[in-house]
Amino acid sequence: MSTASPRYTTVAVILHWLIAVMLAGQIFGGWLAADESTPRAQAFQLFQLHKSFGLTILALSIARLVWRLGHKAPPMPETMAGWERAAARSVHVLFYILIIAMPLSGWALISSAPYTVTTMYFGLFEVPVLPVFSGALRGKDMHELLESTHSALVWITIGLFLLHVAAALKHHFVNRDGVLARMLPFLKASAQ
Amino acid sequence: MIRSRLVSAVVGLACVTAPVAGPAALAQAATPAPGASTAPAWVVDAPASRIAFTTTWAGQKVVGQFSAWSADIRFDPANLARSRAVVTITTASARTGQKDPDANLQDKDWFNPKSFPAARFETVAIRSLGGGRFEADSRVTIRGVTAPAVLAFTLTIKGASAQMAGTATLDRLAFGLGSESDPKAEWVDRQVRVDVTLKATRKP
Repeated sequence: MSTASPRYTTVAVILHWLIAVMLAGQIFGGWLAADESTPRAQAFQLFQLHKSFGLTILALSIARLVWRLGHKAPPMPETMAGWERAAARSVHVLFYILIIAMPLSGWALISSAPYTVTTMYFGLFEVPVLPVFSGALRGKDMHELLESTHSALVWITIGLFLLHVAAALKHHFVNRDGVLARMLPFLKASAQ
Repeated sequence: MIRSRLVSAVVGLACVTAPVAGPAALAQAATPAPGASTAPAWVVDAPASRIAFTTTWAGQKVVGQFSAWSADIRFDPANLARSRAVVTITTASARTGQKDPDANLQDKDWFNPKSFPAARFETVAIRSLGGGRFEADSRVTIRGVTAPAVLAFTLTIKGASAQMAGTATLDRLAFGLGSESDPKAEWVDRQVRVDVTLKATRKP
């Protein structure tokens, strides 16, 4: 039996929305923590949360990628033009790259920092730094490079997010082809 | 008289850093004996003395201290011109009791003890403000960088015993402390307060 179906699998739907909500929170929380007007004691706690959620996103994203490789996405509507299919596919592939690269770049920037701040995963256990950055790669220059990378990835994510949402809304309200409904958690595909 | 000169000569020969007069003789005198070049030496009672530092770390107050240091003190309140103190501090002995601050202090961006094992404090000029209060224009050397500092202190001398409490505020960035980690002093205050408490006994 084919794994393709008109809807995404329940696992895919749950992972999609969990990661989406966490990502939005991460962008907001990260901004707040980096804002110099946030009192440092709060910023410190925000960064700890940011790192904990970031690692959670990393784990969920890897799980999602593995799941995706084993479970085909439902086919795109026949009405979609070639360029639309290509665009949708590119955005989805880029998203997979981003949701893994973004937390990794965050982990790397902390690992390469000239200072030591122990990361506690939701206060439960200590998360080590990435050993790659313990030697010559550790320091101000590498740290700043990775910091810029991390924030550049945020901007790319925001751009992709806008495209993604605009396309979903267009499918739902203009094309009425049920594409959005296949990813909505409490809806059965109805507009086929 | 002759005997006294002999003693001075012997002490002078034996003590390279206090080359001229016997310290006991100086301690008795309100004014320095002719030819005297230093004030009497004081021996620090290490367990009753401490050098502490206070700053903030991520919005929280952090207090640390150095467990290894030595002081060479020549002090006579009546002869401040000849009084001086040199303190050598083992940078690797800095401890706050908190994991992350301690790890950073030993790192190369902070005390960097591998390259700079010792920090140094020395007075340049000490003046009395009256009422047992003093101020010492000083030079502090950390990470090989020397910067001026003012140590304000109070002093009580009872017989051969002295109790001193002093405070100096240092700009950590003047010494390059944390200049890569936190150059804008977002996380660690730029001003670090150093509190010194000393108990010392005049050398007999």
